Amino acid sequence: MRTVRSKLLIALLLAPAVLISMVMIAAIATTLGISFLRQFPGDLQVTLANYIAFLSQPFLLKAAYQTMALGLVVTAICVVLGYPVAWFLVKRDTRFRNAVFLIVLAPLLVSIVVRTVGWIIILGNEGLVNALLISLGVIDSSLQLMRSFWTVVVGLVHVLLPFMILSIASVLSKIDDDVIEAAMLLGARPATAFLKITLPMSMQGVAAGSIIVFALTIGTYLTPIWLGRGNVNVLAISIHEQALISVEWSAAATSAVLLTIMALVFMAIFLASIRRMTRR
Amino acid sequence: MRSRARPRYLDAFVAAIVVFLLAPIVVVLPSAFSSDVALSFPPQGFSTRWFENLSPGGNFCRLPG
Repeated sequence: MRTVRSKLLIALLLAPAVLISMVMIAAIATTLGISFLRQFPGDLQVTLANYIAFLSQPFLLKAAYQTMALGLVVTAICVVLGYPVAWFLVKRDTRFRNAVFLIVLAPLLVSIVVRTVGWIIILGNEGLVNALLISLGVIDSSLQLMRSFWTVVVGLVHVLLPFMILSIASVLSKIDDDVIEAAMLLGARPATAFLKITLPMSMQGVAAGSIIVFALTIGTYLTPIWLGRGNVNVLAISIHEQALISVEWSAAATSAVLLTIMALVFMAIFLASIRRMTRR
Repeated sequence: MRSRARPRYLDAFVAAIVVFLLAPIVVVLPSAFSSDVALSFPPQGFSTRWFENLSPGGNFCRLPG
């Protein structure tokens, strides 16, 4: 009796997860299916033409390259900038710790639209940085700070840094200080103790944060449009144009499938290298 | 602790990140009171016309369509 009841309970508890994953799988399967149709809706002949068309369009290949480059650069910068802040939040014992924690969380409470407008005010031709540099006499005319790959990188790092900091901090806080102390007692210098013990133990947090940041970066749409102003085309923008402007559902589905595959390949490589690093 | 100097670098770094995280949010606030149409910093003039636009009967609520 008891086992039957517990099995029923497990089935009930699993029901929401099964339902949600079924909807997600259905969406992905539909996209995958549409990407192999000549024209959807309309000509439903199965073909590889959409993939060949994608690979023969320099514009789309460049968008794919820029999407991946953006993902890698933003993730790397978030790790480098986020790790020390996570360290500060966990290990540094000051009265500012709670304030810093709140400030790290603050951007998450403000819409991405508002934060991107903020970057336009700072980096624009009549923005804060240019006004400051001109009044200091460093430059005579405005610098073109907008419309570039690196402007988009700045905007995205600002949006995604909190995710990285929080996931590294959550793992760092679980590392026992006694372990590091033991290493020091055995003669390790602070740098050695960090490289051999703390860093490998915190790699899980870096991996989790990197996956969140990478996945959110390659799916980003608003920041490249607003800060790149047409100079930074990522696949999310191409998919939007294909699906809703030129209304080519098959082409849009193909781009979406290729974006997903690229993301999975990058994450697999990344996770494998992290695993190798932590095992050693 | 031997490494007294290191927290100072860490604190300075964290202070820089705090500025980075807050700057775009903070600069939006004075710009809301700008009298200029274009976004610029420092804001040109002072006005509350953008807030008046938002009120019922303002331009924002009288869009065609």
